This record gives sequence, C-alpha cells and structure tokens, in this order.
Amino acid sequence: MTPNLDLKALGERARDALDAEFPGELLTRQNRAQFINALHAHLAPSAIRRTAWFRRTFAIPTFVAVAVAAAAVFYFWPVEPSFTVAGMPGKIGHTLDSGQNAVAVDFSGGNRVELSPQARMSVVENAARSTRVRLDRGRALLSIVKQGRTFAVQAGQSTVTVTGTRFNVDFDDKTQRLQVALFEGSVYITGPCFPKPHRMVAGDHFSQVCNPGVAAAIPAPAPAPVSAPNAMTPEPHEVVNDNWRALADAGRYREALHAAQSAGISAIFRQATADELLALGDTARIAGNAVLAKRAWQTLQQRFARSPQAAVAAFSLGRLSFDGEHDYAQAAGHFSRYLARAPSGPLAGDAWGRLLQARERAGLADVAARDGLAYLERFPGGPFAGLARRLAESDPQRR
Amino acid sequence: MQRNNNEDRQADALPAVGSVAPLTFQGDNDALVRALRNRHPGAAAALWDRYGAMVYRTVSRTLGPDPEVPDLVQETFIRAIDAVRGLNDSERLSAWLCSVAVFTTRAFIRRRARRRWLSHFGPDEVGPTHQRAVADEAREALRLFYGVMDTLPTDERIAFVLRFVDGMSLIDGAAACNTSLATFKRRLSRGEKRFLVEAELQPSLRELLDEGTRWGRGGRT
Repeated sequence: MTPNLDLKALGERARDALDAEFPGELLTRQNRAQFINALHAHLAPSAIRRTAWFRRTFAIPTFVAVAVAAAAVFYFWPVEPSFTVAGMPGKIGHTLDSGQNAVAVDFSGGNRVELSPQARMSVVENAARSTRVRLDRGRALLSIVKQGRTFAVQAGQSTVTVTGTRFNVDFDDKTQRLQVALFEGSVYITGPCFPKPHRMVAGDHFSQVCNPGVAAAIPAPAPAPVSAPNAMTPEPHEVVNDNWRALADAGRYREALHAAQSAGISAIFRQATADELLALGDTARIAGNAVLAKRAWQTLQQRFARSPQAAVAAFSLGRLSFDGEHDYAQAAGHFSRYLARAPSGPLAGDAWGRLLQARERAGLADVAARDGLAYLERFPGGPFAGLARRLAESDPQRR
Repeated sequence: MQRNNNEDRQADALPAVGSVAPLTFQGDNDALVRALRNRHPGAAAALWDRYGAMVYRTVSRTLGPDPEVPDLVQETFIRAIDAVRGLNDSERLSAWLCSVAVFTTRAFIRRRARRRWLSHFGPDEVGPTHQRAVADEAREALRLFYGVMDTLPTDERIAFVLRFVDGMSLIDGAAACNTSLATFKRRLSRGEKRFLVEAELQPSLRELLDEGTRWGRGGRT
C-alpha cells in the first residue's frame, strides 16, 4: 500500500530512471561552446546594466542623437587605419621583437594584439577591410572586435582568420608547431596542411606541426571570411555548403538539418571532418531524424576509426539504440565499444551505467552482474551504484 | 572507391600532425576558483568540464524530466561564475555549486508556478510541466512521480528530492538548501507526509508503485 512506501527505494528508482536520460552530448564540444558564448554574452553588458536606470531617465535620447551624429562623421570622414606599438605609431612591414617585455599593439578599430616576451611579429597589411599580421615566433593574445572586417594571423604556413573573438596564437619557428587557444567566438585556420578551412569554436585548443618542406609545393588557399561560411574555399572537385554548422551552433537544429540536406548529405559524409560528422549526428538526432543521425555516426566510425570522436559516436549510437530503438543488446555493444576505445574518457562513467542498464534489459543477467561488480569497483559512489549493487546481488552464480 | 581510400588516408593522416582538444586549465580547485575570480579564459570551460555532469544531475533530479533542464544547467554555471567571489573555501566548490544548482532550480519552479497562476485565464499559454514524450514505462512512472512532486511546496519538494532521489545525507541536504539541519528536517518531514497523501490520491501512480514493474525491478523478479 502506498502509505507503507519505502521512500528511499522509490527515490533510488526515480534516480536510476532519470540517470538513464542523462544526455552524453551535454559534455560535447558544441554544448560547451554554447555555454561559453552564452557566458561571454552575459558578462559583456554587466557594466551597462548597472547604469540602466540612468540611461532610461536621461541618457538614452542624448546618446542616440550623439551616436547618429558620430556614425555619420565616421562613415563620411576618410580615416586611414593605423596602429600603435606600445603607444608609439607603428609602421607596416617593420619587424617587432618583444625582447624581454610584453608589448601591446593597438589598432585604430579597437583590435589589440598582446605580444608575449621573446615573440616576433610584423603587421603585413592594415587596410579598411582587412588587417594581416605575421607571427614569426612566440605567443600573442588577440582581442578582436566584431566590426565586419577581417583580421588574419599568419604563422608559418598556416593562417588563422577571424572577425570577432579572443584567442592565443603560439608559434614555434623551430618545430613549426602552431597552437591556438580560443576563448570566445570562432575562427578558421587555413593553410597547405588543411584540405579545407578548419573551424574552431570557443573552448578549443588546437595544436599542429605543418612541415614546410612537404607543404611548400602546395599553394596556400586564400583566407576565408568567417562571417560568410558559403564563401569558404571549397575543395576543387566539390562545393559543400557549410551553413548548417552555423545554424547548429546557434541551436537551430531543424534548419541546420534542412541546410545540410540541401547541400547534399552524401557530399558532407564524404568531406566532413570527424567533429563535423559528430555534430551532424547530434543535429539530426535533436531534429528528430534518427536514421540520419545513425548514418552520420557510422560514417564517422568508418572514416575516422581511430579518432576520439569515433568513441563518442559509439556512445551516441548506444543511446540511440537504447532510447530510440529499444534494441538493448545492440546498445550494450555500442557502449562496450566506447569503453574499449576510451576507458577513461569523459563519458566512461555514463557508458558503464548505460551498459549495465542495457545488459539488464537485454536479459543478460550473468554478464550484467559481473559488470555491476566492475562498476562498483570503479565508481563506488557513482550515480549507477544502486543499479550495479542490485545486479551484483542478483548474480545467478552467487546464489 | 579509390577516391574514398585517398580521402581516408588523408583524413587519417591529419590527426597525426594537427589535433583539436578541449581548452585545458591546469590546476586544482583552489587555482580554478582564483582563475574564475580573475576571469581567466578557459576557467569557465574547466568548471563546465569538471562539474557539468554533477550540476545536470542535481537540476534534473530536482526538477524531473523537463526540456528546461539544459537551460537551467547553463544558468546555474552563469550564476555561479557571477557569484564566485563569495565562495570562501575552494574545497567546498562542489557543494557550493550544488547549492547554486538547487537555488537556480527553486527560482525556476517558483517562476513557473507564478506563470501558471497568472495564466489561469489562458491555460494554453503555459504547457504542462513534464512535456517530454513518454517513450517507455519508466518514463511514464517518472512523469507521474514528478507530477506528485509538482503539488508539493517548493522547499519541501527540494528537501524530499535531495534526500530520497539524490540520496544526500541530512547534513549535505541542509547545506545545499543553505538552511539549518532542523529546518531541513522539518521540511523533509512535511514533504514526506504530503507526498504520501498526494500519492494516495493518484490512482495511476499508486498502481505503478504497487505493481513495481515499471521502474525496472519487480517485473523480472
């Protein structure tokens, strides 16, 4: 009877059922990037909010009038873009060696490059529509204002192109290793070592060695503006619309899927990177197209079998089999594959838990009991510990 | 076919020279808290990586299966980063984040209750609490369970969920709710009584609980 309910056991069952709903994609690069961008959007206007009452009362009409006048002056007044190096006027083409001290390079549009000690760079171009700097060696922190103009950093054979973001570029001229740490927004990296522009999102760290001896014979593609994904340098034999990525990043999954389908799913499957295939699968799943999600993840596993993304695809396929198809034996296979490839991966705990659930539901009691014990050894206080204990206790061989 | 092989070789060759990994933050929780206070780039991402799953579980267990959970997880982290200067002991980071998650969810439950009350004359504007499609019986049981939870006053619901669903000790539950142990116990006791009464009024839930099959246990024993 209900009044005699064991609330603890009831709560435990509710917990198991809820944990079965845990979305592994919460921890993917895309969701992480969405959170970081939301955080930056939240932090940026805080100073403005504090004076909101003042603006509402007095300042807004005045500000609007001044802004209109200023915009008119700015638009019609011919201003030559300029930059300063540690407060002194800088010159195009001059090599800037930071020596023992960090040096700030400020551009007239509000962009800033902070050069770390022992770094060397030069401003190659500073025109109305684009700025290009060459980083010969060392580290630079870039804060780029979104203003409709291109800012590009050339480091060795590679070019990082951006319109509004904050990131570190670190280039070792001896080993030719380029490292990019992206804190806000997104950038594209192009160069002879990339078959097509390589996209980074907030929270990514990129590391690459591009061997100039091998790459020198291949002409570098022109840098692509970030704001126009369609204009990105395509591969010579096939043009693929990359719009779906931007729509997916914005959380518009149905539209993203439609854009991907319009661009040609087969071409995307053939050309997309591992990250893109993973994201396409997530997009399709959220948009309700489980068949396409499955194809994307399977393609990822075939094309990039040894990549970390292939392991995540195995986890996602497991969830699809478990939740969507109720094929628990197949789901157990996928979760096992994830654990084989990434035994200490970020989804390992959840993969173990889902594996237990899948094996239990597939009727594999003896295997599930063994896995329950293994789970308890690894995660004694884990969220699936209740289920693991139950399975371990019900081991037919122990009876 | 030959082209595909070439692509495979090319694709497989790329990770050997270039790789993308999550932006890492090196350091223990003490360093992480200091970095968050100084708005260190990468600290927010590290916080997400370390505690994303924990916060998700706290929010989902408090609220139940609800499409708003991911947004609330994000809101929890943003609130935490806003308020991180008030955290005095970095060793309590996990418990403190749990508390922020509880308060964020509590504010949301209250907000939704107000909206529901205000939309009394236009009920179509605010949907039911648990709209996720019911795919199987476990979800149905979960939906009914949280349907009863919705009838409890917010503080009692949170005490009940932290204790029985999340499995927290009384002391941890009181800390998460930022109340004294005595207050937490009072809320829990009232929550238990109300839950049992409400559960008694829900024939479908009672049936599920009595049968015990749909929560994945009794049916196979």
